[in-house]
Amino acid sequence: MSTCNVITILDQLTLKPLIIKNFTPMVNLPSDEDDLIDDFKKLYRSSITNNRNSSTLSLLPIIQSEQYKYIHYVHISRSHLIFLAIVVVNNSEKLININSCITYLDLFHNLLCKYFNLKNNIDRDIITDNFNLIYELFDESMDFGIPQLTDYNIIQEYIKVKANLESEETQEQDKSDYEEENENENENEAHTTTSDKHGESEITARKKNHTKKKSHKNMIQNTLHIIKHPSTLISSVDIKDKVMRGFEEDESYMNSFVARTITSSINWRPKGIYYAKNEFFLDVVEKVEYCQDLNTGEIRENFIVGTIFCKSYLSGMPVLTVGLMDNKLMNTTYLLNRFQFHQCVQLDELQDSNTIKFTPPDGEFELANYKLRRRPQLDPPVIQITEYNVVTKPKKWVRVFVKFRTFFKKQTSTSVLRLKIPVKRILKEYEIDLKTAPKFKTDWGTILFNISDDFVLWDVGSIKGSYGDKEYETVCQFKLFDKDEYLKEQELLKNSMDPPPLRTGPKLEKLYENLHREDGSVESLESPTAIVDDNNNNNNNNSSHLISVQFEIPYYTCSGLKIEYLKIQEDSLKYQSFPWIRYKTINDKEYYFQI
Amino acid sequence: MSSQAIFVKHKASELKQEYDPVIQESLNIYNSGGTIGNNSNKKKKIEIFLKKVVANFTFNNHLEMSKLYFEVFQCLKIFHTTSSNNKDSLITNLCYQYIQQITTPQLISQDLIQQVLKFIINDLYYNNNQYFSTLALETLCYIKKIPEYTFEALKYIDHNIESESNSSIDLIKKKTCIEAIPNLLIDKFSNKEQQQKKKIIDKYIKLLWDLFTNSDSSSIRASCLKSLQYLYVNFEPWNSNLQLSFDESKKIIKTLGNLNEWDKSCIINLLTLSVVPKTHEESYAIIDMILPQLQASNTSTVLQTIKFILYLSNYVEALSYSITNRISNSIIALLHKPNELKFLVLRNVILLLLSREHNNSSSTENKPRENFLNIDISYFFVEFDDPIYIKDTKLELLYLMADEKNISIILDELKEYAIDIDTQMSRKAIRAIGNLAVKLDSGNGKKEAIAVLLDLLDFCSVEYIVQEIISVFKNIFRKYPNEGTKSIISKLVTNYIDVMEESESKSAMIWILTEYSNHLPQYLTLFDEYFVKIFLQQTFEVQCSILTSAVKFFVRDSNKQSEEVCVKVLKMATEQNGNPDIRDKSFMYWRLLSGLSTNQIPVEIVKEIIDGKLPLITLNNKLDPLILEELELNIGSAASIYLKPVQQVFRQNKTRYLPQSPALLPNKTDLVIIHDEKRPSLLAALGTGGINSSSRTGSLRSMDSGIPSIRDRSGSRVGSDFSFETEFDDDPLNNFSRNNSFSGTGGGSTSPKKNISDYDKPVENVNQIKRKNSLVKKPSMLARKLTLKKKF
Repeated sequence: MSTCNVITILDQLTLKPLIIKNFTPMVNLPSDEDDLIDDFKKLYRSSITNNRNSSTLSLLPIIQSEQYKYIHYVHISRSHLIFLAIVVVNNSEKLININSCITYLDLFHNLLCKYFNLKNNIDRDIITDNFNLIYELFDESMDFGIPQLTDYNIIQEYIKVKANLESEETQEQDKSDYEEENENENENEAHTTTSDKHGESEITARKKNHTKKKSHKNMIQNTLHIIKHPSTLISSVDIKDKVMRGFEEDESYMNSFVARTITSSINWRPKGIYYAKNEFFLDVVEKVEYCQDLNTGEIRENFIVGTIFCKSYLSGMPVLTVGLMDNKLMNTTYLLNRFQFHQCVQLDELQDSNTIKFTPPDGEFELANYKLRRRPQLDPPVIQITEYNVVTKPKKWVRVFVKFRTFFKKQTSTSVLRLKIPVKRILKEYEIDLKTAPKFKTDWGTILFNISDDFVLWDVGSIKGSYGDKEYETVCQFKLFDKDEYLKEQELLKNSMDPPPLRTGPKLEKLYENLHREDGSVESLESPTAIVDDNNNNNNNNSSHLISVQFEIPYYTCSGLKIEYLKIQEDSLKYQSFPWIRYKTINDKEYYFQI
Repeated sequence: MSSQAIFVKHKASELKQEYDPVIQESLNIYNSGGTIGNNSNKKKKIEIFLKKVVANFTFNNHLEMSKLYFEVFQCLKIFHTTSSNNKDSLITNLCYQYIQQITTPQLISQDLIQQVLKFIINDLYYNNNQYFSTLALETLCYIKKIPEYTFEALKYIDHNIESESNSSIDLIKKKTCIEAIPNLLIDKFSNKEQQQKKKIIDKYIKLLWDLFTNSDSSSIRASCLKSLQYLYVNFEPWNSNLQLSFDESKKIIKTLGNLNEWDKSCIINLLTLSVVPKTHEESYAIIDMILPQLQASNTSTVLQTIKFILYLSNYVEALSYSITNRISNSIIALLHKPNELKFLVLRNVILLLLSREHNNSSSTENKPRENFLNIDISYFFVEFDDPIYIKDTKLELLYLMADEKNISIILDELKEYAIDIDTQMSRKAIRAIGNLAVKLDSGNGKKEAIAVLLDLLDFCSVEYIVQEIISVFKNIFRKYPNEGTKSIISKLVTNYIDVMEESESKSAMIWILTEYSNHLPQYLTLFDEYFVKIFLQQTFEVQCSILTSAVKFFVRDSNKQSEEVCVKVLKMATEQNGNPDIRDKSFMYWRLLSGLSTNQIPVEIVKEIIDGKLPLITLNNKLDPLILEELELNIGSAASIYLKPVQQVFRQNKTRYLPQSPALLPNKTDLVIIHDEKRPSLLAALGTGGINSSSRTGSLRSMDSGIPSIRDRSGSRVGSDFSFETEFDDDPLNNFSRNNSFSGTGGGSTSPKKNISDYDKPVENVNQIKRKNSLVKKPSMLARKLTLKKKF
């Protein structure tokens, strides 16, 4: 019945256990947990040594111990940690439910990430610093080796041990402040673009709310902070008027909420939540994954990965209904069949009505996600590079032409659009004379030359959508090294009495030389001129052949998904509520054109 | 506070010295009824002390830490939540952690154990905080070595379950209690107490059933089911699954929506095999009800649902296209998960393909059938950042999914992989291309595959690629002898004969050279130069091949040159060779040939023996239907990952099989998938609705004849379901290894059968392992070891 017997978290480098939790008392365990971990280490190491030449790990996520035949190891590696479950097969446990086991490990990792408010960056120090918290999380999420609960929204209601992050509180504060700022910025961006939709006054109202919401989030994580800083306590209580917060100090009272939650039919939402202003935010974010070889025109990948994020600040036990608009572009039933829903959605009502009905958990959650394949001929990518051309005039210059077209609704426009054009090959293949600064020309946006990482960043900024009728173009020109001219110049300099002519501007050739001294290996100096969110750090080798595109189009969904209505019903309280819906299409990690 | 300092290995005496004064002071305050402030120094110190102790468990320092039992118990007393003055949940929690780990009769004195027990019991009954009362119960359950603890736990469980209270706190306590029952019972009884055991188990089963029928809370009902299933499976006299009637299961499925995601997954898992639909209508009804769960976000729930639907589909005549489509959709969605989960899903897709995909050749009889899965092949294309295990699985899937329609796309893709930087990957890809050529024997498949291989040869002359391709070509020629045209053969042999390094490719090259010697004018010179001269340095496999080929050449065309070569090889093999197997083999040949010269044996017979026609190879990627059935019922368990019969991995597990029911479909391939949305009309059209009572064995036998176990089963199938478990214990193993038998001797023959159980071995080893005849294997291995020793 039980899914696993022991769970430990190991450091991927040293393979030392950072925390061990034994869930089921193992009377007939052949040996100590540590022996088992050593046994696993052996298996793990041998798989590495056997496959030294290949970059990725070959070890299956589940392996049978060679020494103890009845023991199986299930492991996943996340952010340089190995989450290992040891499963013992004996009289009473005859089959491993590996399915729940891996799912549990994965969800437990997610839970930890949320607890420490880090995205995938938990490291060994955080584990060792917070082992008591993690023990408690283990206790709560699994009973007798049976997974019970892995939903952050519920667990955080009653495990309130403060996460002990490596930095002092001040730093943490800074961090959250910074995040807040960022969020505000994003929000503002969204406002400017959607302002025609919502009235001006509403926007200001929303802004206020936004700050409210933020502090609410902080509060949950830092309940202990609040006790320490009475000043914050007052202000945050002011802002936040959840009734249950009043009972903060009384643990048994708190837990009664949770207890009710777990056994009640709606187990993801505690009763008695109260907000003065009832709001619900729904964000549809679609990421476009696209890969094309420009030489052959072959499209390798063309996907939409969509997620519906929600933030719920609603009182009581509301029932929400989301209706999807059925349009030519997208058949709703087709779409709904491809969704994977959060556990709060009433799955059995989906089929008949094409509406999503649910009682949301409190706070942030992911309502649904989906992955759609696009038809290569019919659905052009949002940003299509139509041409990449290198033209040379011997001894004079080499020019790189890049053209693209846009394919999205005319009423919308991009908020961010950056094309990263690699020039490493050009710098390598041609003898480029960087003494004369390269020239760039475009009608749209600005162009930045990153000399350390060898690329040209074309920051197009905001452009309107079209259906491919308008083409945007840029030209980069590099001067070629001309030996004759160079010799002539040298000769001239030697013979003349004048000092060499004074040069203004940066000495690019020197910079280039400094940066590329160790044959090709680029120092990771971030050039101040260009700030690029470089996601593919690890495949640097490839990136010299790939034009990657970064974009963000607010108020547009690539798939054509549109929400027709969002109805919020709370029968007992009958309050006025404010649903907010946003759409956004952005590029996925993989959105590039091979040249 | 510096947390790094906490995570250090300590000695008990050190800690005692450092913290004992603080604990004593606090104890004094506690005894005098005083309060220790929330932020007081003492409290913080004690917190650190406990943290240090608990952290030491990670260093396997249990023995040392057990010396601090008394101190920790003192801390628990002082700061326990029931003492109104100084309660602290963190400290209580840490203490409980400690007690769980350390309490054993060997380490701790009986007196202390009793004291702690009293304390825990107090917590259990009187602590209002649900969290701590469940923690107390868990602690009791955890410490199994001390019978008093178990006794108290059971006492409490009885007390709790019988209480009528339905407040939410009691409900969650109840839930914990229910789930603790099997844990407490499982190791409780020694062999002597059989009588008592039965009584107690009976009592709890009754208790749980009562609770199940009377409770309103669906989560309590779910817990009851879980525990019941566990008891039924593990204890006499049941030892079988929980059985649920149609109405009961309907009720359970209806309330699934009210359950926590994990409970849901557990219950759906349990429903498989517990529900046996009696008619097709029943199974349709259940499928319809369970279908929405395919869209849950918890991977575990989705996979269990797929398993359940698959199980139920054995009890229907036809599935509507929309259902299979939804299964496919949810699988596609799951492919978006992290690698480990993706791997799990992919392995199970293999299972689905194996068990449900219709055989291409058999589907020719009538209209083309719809596939059970409806997933575009490109979802299984390998991505560069996939871990190896996913790459392997995807390759296997591509191979399984290949048919005449999609072969060109797959071959294109495989060609890409073949020029991958990763050598392992490119070898595997080439291997897969070869296997595809053998698999698709009609139509364009093999032609295209051969063309791709030749292309690759032209395209890159990297050694390992060439060698791999040669090995693969041998398999292709063994299947299609006519494909070895003059141009191909001369190209292969003349260009690449000097490249061969590995034994397998060398053997393959020798085989090709021998088989198609008529296309090569200079074959004997080539043979002599590249193989005979270096005969003694070769590995066992290659020596075998050389020996066989030399004799073949001589028998085929006895002239001076061939005789010379043959005698040379035989001499080397008998006189200079250290390997007894090779020596025996060559003596055998010599004997044969000398019999020929003295006319004792007719030439034809010698030819027949030495140069007989080899049987065409066939590719067998089918698992035994019984094993498949079993694996299918174990989707999501470890067996599905290993793709091995369950007993092989889990010795103690019983085989699962589909429960008998009038609605059971006699043959899996009878399942029709139809586009029609309305099932009733279809049923009418099929003229069924009725129940097919014919035993399913007949059709099974026709599918794969000559397997003893199936016949065995056919006998017992009619009788009681239990009777054939005994016959079963070793049969699946035999069946499974049956694929490994092969024909042919020594050099020439290699079985290209790609057995599905070999997925985890690098492809290039697969053939070698099988080639070794069990007779040849042991002495030769021994010999190799000996020769190795000599060298050192």
